[in-house]
Amino acid sequence: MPTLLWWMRVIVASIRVELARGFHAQLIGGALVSPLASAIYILMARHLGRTEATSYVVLAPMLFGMWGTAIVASGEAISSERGEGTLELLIAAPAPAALVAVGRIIAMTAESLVAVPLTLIVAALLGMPLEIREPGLFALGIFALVLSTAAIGMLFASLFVLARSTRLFQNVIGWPLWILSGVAFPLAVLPEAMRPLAAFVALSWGAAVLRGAAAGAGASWGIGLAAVLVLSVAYATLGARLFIGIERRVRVDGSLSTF
Amino acid sequence: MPSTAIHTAARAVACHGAPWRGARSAVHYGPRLMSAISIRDLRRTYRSSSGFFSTRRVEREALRGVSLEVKRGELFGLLGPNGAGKTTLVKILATVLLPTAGTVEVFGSDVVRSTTEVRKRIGLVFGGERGLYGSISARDTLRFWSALYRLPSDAGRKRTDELLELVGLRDRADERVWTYSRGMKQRLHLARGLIARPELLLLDEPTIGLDPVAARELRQIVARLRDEDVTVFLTTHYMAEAESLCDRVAFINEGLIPLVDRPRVLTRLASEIRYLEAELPAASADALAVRLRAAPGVRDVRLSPAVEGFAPIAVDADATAYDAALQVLAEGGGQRVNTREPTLEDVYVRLLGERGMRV
Repeated sequence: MPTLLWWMRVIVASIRVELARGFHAQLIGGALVSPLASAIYILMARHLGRTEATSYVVLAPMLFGMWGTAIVASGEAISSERGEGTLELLIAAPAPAALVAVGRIIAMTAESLVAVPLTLIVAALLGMPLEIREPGLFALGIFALVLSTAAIGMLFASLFVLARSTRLFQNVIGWPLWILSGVAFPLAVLPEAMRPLAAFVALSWGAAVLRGAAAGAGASWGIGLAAVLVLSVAYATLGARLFIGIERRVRVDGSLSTF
Repeated sequence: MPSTAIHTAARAVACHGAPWRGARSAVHYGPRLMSAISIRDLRRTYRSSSGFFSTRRVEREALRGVSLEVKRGELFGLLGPNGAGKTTLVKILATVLLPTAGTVEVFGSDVVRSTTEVRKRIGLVFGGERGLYGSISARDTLRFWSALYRLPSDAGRKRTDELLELVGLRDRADERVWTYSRGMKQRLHLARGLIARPELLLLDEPTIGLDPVAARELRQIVARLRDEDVTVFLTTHYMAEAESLCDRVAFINEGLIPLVDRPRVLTRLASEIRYLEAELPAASADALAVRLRAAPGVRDVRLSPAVEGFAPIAVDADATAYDAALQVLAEGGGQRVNTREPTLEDVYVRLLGERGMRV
């Protein structure tokens, strides 16, 4: 079996296992939080008479939900393997253990997509429906963001191998990303020194694509999608390299099974 | 008090290197290529820190110069108390832990430099409840691991069916693992370890915590692997398990391997001692035990609580003290007096008994 095909098979097998394990309470919680958070923002926007901000108040909680899932999923992927005593067995297997983490994160991210229709429904019910003028582009943007979510999850998963307690990291790491993503406000309102950093956050490009798809595209959607994909590849590559380095480190210090 | 013969053998190993790697290896084990496992002067140190600012460095040497050869097709047992270094050695063989010093080769491939090659050829099985996904079925478990070991989809499905049959889980293959008994989980562990037809199977205390029937079933499956030419490296602290299963066994203690040989050869090391067992009347048992302990040549006396008026007693005595000990037992009204053959457990207790609860 060619190596690439084998790796795909490992990812698919990991997705199957993750789906067979059933829904995670945390993911269900995350999926429910997105429409609820969206409801709060929508009501605030209506109260302030800012109905033109629909794409921000509807999309922001939805996208927070997706990337938040990546953080939860990557932490879960490692800490549950460690807790169940399978992490060492995965390392001892010929397949790269990082692929198992990728598969699990993709599955969990896919589960979290339930937040997308729920948020859109809540927005419609509260009188601020998100009109999507280019649904095809919107779907493409969501797909690209799923890939970027899995890729950033892989990057975090590498770090979680080192961390004995993932919970603190999971709770903290999201906030700076939300600020730099510009999903809740235009990036132009960020302090000037911070704006270049936003270019390295795939979510900021993805959010722009989705807003463009809702509003009727514009010429820059291609650049936005390309940026999401390039950054996703960069996250995944960095994550894989980090995983290899960290795997060696934990084999040296013997901390693979400690938690 | 440890037996002189055992300690003489242990000292010889410690001072002059392992005798089994000298002339005997040339005769019995052939060239190095015949080795499934080849370990040279293996050391492993764990470093950790403690204190509020993690400034206090702590070092613990788990393996302190282990050398060992395991032949292809051999069923090899590693015996030792908790914390002796058994699991550390297994983890190094399985490539999940790196040696601090020394070399370890599996079928000629170095576990540090040729990690991928080693991983393709081994199966790893830990004992206990951990190491399985409780919320998926046995079939899904095996299918998942078949993908990780690069089995094509059809071959993985076929191998899964074979293994479910082998370990007796076919009828409950589609139930979630968390509904399984401990014995069933351990059999699934074993099936998982065999998924890619490994040439070397590492079993780390596979029967720990199992009831006698489940442990026996598992041992029967392991014994059958001999027919498939699988090399098995088994760690355990159940002496009877090692004695009944293994071609050769090694004792490990405090990171060193002082003895390695066939079980029958090792039990001979304890053969200068006579092992007497009897039942004494409860009323006089304590006094007789004191008398026996004071007798010259008596090494150990273990008196158990009385049951229905009689207290079981076990006496280890030098051959020269055998008659005297027998006489004391007879005079004290001892019943069911018998002499038994030394077991691997006797060697183990003699060799490691001094360690007690020290870690």
